[in-house]
Amino acid sequence: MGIFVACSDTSEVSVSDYDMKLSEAIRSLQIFNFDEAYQSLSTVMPFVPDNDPDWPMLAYCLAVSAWHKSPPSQEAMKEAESYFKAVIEKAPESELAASSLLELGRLYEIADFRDDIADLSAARNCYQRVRQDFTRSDMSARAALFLAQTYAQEFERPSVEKAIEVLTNEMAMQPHSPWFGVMAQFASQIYAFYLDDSVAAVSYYGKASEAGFPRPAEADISLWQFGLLAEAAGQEELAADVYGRIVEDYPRSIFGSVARQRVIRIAERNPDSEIRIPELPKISLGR
Amino acid sequence: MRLPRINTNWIAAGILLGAFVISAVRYYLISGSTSDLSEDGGSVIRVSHWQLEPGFREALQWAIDEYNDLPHVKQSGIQVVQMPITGKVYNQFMNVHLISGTAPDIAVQGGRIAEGNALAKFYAPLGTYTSEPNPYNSSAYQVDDLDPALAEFLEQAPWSETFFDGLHGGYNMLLGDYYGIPVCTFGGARIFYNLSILAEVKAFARGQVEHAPQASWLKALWRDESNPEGYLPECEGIAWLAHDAIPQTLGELIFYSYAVQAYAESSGHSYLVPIAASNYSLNDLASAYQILFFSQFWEKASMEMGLPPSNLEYLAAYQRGDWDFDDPALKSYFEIAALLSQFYPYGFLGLDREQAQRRFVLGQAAMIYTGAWDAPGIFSGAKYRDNPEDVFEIKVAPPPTPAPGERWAEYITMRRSEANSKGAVPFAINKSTPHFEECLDFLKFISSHRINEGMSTRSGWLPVIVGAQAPDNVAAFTPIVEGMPARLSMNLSNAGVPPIIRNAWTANYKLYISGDISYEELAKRIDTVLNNPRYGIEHAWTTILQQEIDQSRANTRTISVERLNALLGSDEAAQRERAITYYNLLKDEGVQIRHWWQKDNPDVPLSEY
Repeated sequence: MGIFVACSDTSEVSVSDYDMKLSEAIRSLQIFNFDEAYQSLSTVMPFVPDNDPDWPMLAYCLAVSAWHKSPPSQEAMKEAESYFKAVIEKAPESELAASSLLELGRLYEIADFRDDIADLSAARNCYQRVRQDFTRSDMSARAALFLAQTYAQEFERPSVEKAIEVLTNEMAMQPHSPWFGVMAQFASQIYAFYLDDSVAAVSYYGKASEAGFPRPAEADISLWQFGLLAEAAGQEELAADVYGRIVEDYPRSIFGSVARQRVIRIAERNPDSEIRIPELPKISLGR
Repeated sequence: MRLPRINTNWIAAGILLGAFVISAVRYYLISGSTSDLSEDGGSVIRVSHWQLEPGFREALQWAIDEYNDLPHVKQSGIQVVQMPITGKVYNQFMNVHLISGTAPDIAVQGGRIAEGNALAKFYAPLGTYTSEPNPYNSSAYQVDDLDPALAEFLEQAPWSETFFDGLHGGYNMLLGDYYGIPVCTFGGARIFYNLSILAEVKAFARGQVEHAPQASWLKALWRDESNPEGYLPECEGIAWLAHDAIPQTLGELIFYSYAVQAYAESSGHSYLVPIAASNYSLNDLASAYQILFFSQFWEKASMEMGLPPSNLEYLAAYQRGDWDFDDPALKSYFEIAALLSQFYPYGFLGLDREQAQRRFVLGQAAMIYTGAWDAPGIFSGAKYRDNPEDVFEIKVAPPPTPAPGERWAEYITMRRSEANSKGAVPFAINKSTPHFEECLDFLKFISSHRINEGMSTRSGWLPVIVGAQAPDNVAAFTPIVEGMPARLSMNLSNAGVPPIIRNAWTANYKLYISGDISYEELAKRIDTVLNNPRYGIEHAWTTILQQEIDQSRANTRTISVERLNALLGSDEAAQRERAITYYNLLKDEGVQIRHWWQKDNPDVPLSEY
């Protein structure tokens, strides 16, 4: 790989090292400058031989740039779609192909510009294909989440139950996936707020808590919700335990005082349970 | 004699030409003084911020001088200079210069165009550097007599861990990286008491309570069965006068405020008021109590229990009739707000923050409520008076809560929690600076233990580095852990509320507390806006749905970028992708809003733009 020269009918076009162009484009993408990445890649892409080992990554980055550059247009979506499809075709077993399928699914699922029509069915096909072709992988877990969301957003009970089914199947297949916590907490939300089943919601919240919440920086908010759902499900001792974790494990949580109050109230209602009242920490500055 | 006819267009052209020449000269002079080259031909690193409060600029200048004096900095020819810019134009200044590529090398994050994931477009991510120890915390740079355990910690700990909040104040949740290096902590807002006035007023009040019969203002204060509108039991009020303590309860604070008014009237101090206030919202002491009254509604409003309710959930709850203006908690808040505003100067909404501070330091107000950033100015203003007899001592304390038996004790059961106080004034590095390494080195220097402690001493602001000693007079601003989370409180004046509703709320609140309209009129006016189909709650659903859809697109872009980073091998990016994916699953394309609407309006489609 290196510097090469490409010719056109009208003039000789000198193209710099596309390895460098790819690095530049990735740097642009990493700072959300999709327009710059697109400009950089679209000038070089026609001259990259498709048997070059970097072709799939170049094509993938170009597709992402085309999809997210502004303003969104039918042309740009078509271009993104064609490059995603090309990556899937040319490197079908690679993670880039799986990711391209996920991105294609999202592209179909979202109406990106005026008169663009969301195509849920096409999106689901993409997600299903990831689950089939990349079974028991992180990509499959991502696909399960996106697929479940396409069902949950219909709000009808059978669809919502289908969403739960997708998530529980994936969790059963991948109990040690880093995405397990995301799936469990999402399932908990669907049970709690789409199916009004706080008992099942608490069960999945427990699984998410064990696996690790997907937003660790907001773990105290997740525990606060876990505790409230446990109270709603009539599991007061579990709720007291969860609130206690907010107080003791997250000393900088603004929910510390209200969580502690909840523990006190639960302890008063359950005098035989010997519930321990946690103490609030002190914050100090200086030596 | 006939005067020659003058073409007035030439006058206009002359004025324009003159203005152009003046501008050109000024541009030449200013650009010369802000050149990228220092006097000795080295490079200049410009540091901009908008903290113009007394003390901060001097403290930062001290840190800059210390840095410029380091041998390796002198050798490199680098010179750091500060560019303080008023907060009134800071965002506009940063917007223009970030776009034009001429922004200062280091700046307190600012500029509307750098919000959301656009922050990454203009400022450099610092996460790569925060896991290494800060070299300026090594023993060669430490203060003398530092506790050995602290010295070892500072020397070895990752840079991020040397911040008391783990550098949370510089972390961007959306982008999952550090973009700022804070240099101080704001802590919570507090009441400043003028102790000279306190002593005089207490002496006056002691005479008043002993006088029989008591004055009508005093009798109205005492709360008992015959006077449920009173504020505190008489015995409690009289007991408080027996010593020199500041008010320990809300009832005592109200008693003190009435006493100041009576004292001012009887002694002819026509300018003396209980509380110095202004149009600066933080000077409004009622704001300290607002969240306690407005947190009464979160359980009714929450459409998804456990997640702090959004503005729309509170508006939808109003639509459902889950709260209204007859609600005792709401009425009580407006009562306390109106009461406290009686203790502010006449026309306080026409005064600015500096005027409120001036009134306090001139001894024309018994109290002022504000944040730690105003403390140095207030302390020095009170200490350095032209007439030594005017110098007074100050005591700082959090707003008191009611004791049992006092009015509003059922609502104000705790304070507002400050547990999540973060590092403040986060300096970020401009992505287009040609001196990134030097900027990073400077930020490490000013966030080292010795320099942060030195800045804290000089600025009078709370430090941000673990173990850095705060000056005694600002220790009272140390965050209070215990309290109600503001996130559980309704706030219809925040920026996320559709503007017409927000304006109706804030404008009528101001009219009410200044006595221009009654509570019934306030309720009627706000209700009219809330129920207006064109710009009320119904319209808010559509507006907020669109905001959620736009946000969802931004999230989708972030997911794409983080997945790319994960594919390139970053475990941290994979974690960030999981975090943003989960967030987006809950809100994707406004699904949460659509679901709430369907629950409340099962047979009516939600309008969209």
